[in-house]
Amino acid sequence: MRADMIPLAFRDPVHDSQSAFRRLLRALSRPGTPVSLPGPAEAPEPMGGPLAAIALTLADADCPIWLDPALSTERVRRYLHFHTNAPQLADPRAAAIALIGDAGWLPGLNGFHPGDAPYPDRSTTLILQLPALTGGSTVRLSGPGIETTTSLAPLGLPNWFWPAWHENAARYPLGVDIFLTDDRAVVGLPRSTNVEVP
Amino acid sequence: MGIDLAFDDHGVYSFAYLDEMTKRMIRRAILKAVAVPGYQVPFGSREMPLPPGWGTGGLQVTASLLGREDMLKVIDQGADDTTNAISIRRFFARVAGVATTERTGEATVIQTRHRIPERALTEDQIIVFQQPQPEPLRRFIPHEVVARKLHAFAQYGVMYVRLYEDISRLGHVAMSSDYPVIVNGRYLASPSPIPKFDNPKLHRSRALALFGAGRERRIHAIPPFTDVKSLDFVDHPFTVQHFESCCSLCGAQDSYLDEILLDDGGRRAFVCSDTAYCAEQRGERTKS
Repeated sequence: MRADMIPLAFRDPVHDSQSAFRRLLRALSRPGTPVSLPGPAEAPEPMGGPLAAIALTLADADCPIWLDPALSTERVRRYLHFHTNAPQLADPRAAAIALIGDAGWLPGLNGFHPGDAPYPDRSTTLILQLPALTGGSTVRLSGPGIETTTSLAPLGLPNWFWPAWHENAARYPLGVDIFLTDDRAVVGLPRSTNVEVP
Repeated sequence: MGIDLAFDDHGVYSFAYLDEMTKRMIRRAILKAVAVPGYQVPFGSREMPLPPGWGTGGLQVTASLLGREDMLKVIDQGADDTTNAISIRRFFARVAGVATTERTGEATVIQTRHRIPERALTEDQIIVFQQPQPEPLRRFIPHEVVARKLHAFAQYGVMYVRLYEDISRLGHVAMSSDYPVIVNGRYLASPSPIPKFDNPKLHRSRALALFGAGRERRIHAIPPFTDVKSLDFVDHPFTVQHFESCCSLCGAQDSYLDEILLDDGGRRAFVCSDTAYCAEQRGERTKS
């Protein structure tokens, strides 16, 4: 492959994005439970397959995105521009979707839009790529979509993350929603999910 | 040489009728609706080949969900064999080529008008409601901006006043369908015009419930295992309809019944509104 060529996206855009959407819907309606999410045919480093699949499934000209410094490479920008035509913004608060390749860059969750009281849907959705969705320290989740409680142990979240998530859940119905991804799967974390750090 | 007008080939339509950009917009709205249970997410409702009021909201939600592997069931007032149910089922069989069924147990997506099947839904199923009016406050608050503020402040006193007025005048709450609920302890929502008999099925249901209102351009959702509380007072607790009779076809005593007039003399019978459930009780083979 030539270095200046744009890598391929979904082989079958209609059905691959439908399948990815149903997996996202399953992940968000069953928070904390990993759902496998196959990536597109190709995605430029450092985008993992699931993160790329989410961007291709949800972003378009009506859905502005923001890229963190880890993902903000020329190849990633050209790939997303060509395949989704989503405006790429410099201000994370103005973005509908924030793609984050390295959680270590983030100062916190306050830089994103939590929605407005009459329109809580006008919030930013974060796609946060991690080294792995297991193997980290365990937290306990509860809320809509979870029968009793469920545990989650993603690897590579910064120390401020769970206290910040606690604050995010406390201002429900405002707040951001997050999809955590690794190289194979996605975990949904809607703002309605409460976390208990043991 | 004639022009081939064979429209029965679903290849002439976009998969599931809607274009990809519309589906993406609806999919983003559905995800927001799941994240904020009971909140009505505005969406850009499209013109569908069906008049508003016939399920265009449910149709658009279903079109955005459906994939080639899905098994679709459509019911109208519980019945698989009424005009609306048959047309919608045929529509998706034509434009998406999906398999359809009348058996509740084997469907992956169930689009419904005004009923929830009697058979308990599973976590692998999604139920899509056709909803004429998603705003429970609309009867008292015609002004959208004001209704939205009341939702923002969770000020639902006006609905309790409505319930109270019924009780003071009639001794009970006179709403037998579209009975308002509080979802996840926060948003007042309308469960669509299902009989209040079905309200308890929404509480901590194993299946995801999506509500699509085409004319009103709103989508809302009740995720699985979400608390759904029908509004009531401590001294006037919520109750569901109770039937004196049983189904005259299958004998079921636990299902929602429709009253059927048999002759001019006023003879009447009760039958299950959920036709698939009734057939199952009778051990009949239903169409797959």
